[in-house]
Amino acid sequence: MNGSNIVNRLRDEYFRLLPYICKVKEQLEAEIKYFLIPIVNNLKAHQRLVVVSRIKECESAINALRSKRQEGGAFDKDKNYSLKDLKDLAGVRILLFPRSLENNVNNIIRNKYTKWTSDPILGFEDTDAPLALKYYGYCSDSNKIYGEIQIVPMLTGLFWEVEHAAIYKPKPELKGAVKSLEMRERTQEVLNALKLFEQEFESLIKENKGT
Amino acid sequence: MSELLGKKEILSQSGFKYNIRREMYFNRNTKKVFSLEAIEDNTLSWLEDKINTEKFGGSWSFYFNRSPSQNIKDEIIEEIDK
Repeated sequence: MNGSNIVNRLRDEYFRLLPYICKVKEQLEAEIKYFLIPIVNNLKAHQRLVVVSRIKECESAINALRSKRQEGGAFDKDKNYSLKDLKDLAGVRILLFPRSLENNVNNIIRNKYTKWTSDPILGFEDTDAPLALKYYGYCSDSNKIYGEIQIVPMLTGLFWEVEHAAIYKPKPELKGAVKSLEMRERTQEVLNALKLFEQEFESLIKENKGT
Repeated sequence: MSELLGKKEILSQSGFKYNIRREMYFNRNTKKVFSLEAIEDNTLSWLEDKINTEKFGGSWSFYFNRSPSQNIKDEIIEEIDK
């Protein structure tokens, strides 16, 4: 099977899986919003918690499989590929501001999804703190495809959304550009700046408590 | 300087270009190709050693974690050896 046949077969697989992908997305979003009600109901005026869900689009899923499974960005005709290997066909992202909400949210997610695998999004270097927390596993209603839950500082998540809208959405294959060492260095600088901004803001809020 | 930045510097100083679609660095003069995955997974000194190793013969060398099949090598060479 040559590269374009593999892509055509994966497109067929995607549309066979699509009803399950949608179901997992809907279930995860509803569950998580429900589990997080106690936190949402007690947010302070400056705090935000937003739950968003998405399904991975067909071409984006195929590109992800191509770059994940095969160095050199090409499918090997001698191997079997399946979109079911992807961990993020359906996902929920929990955006938090400020990031000090992370512990409480993470505790709830860990308690509710005990069998899910932790797979944090790492920083530029292995020694850097994770950029976001991430889990994947099967929902109670479907073991056909994995679901993914991300817990992300809001400013970081919004930067990723801008990146996605500007780069990946119009041309998914450009994802490789952002993975280059040069772009990763610049991205890290942006994320560090956002983190410092947030820390400064939170520290001012704490200092001015009660004023 | 961090390890990853060190790798970026040596690749750039040695004339390697990045291919977005293939996610790999390549140099047409020395005919060497490094996958991003191999660069990440190996040490800076491994990368320096492979970049500085003298090559004999005119064929391309692929430094990947898993050696690519011949058809993938051919596809990549056709794309970058222009």
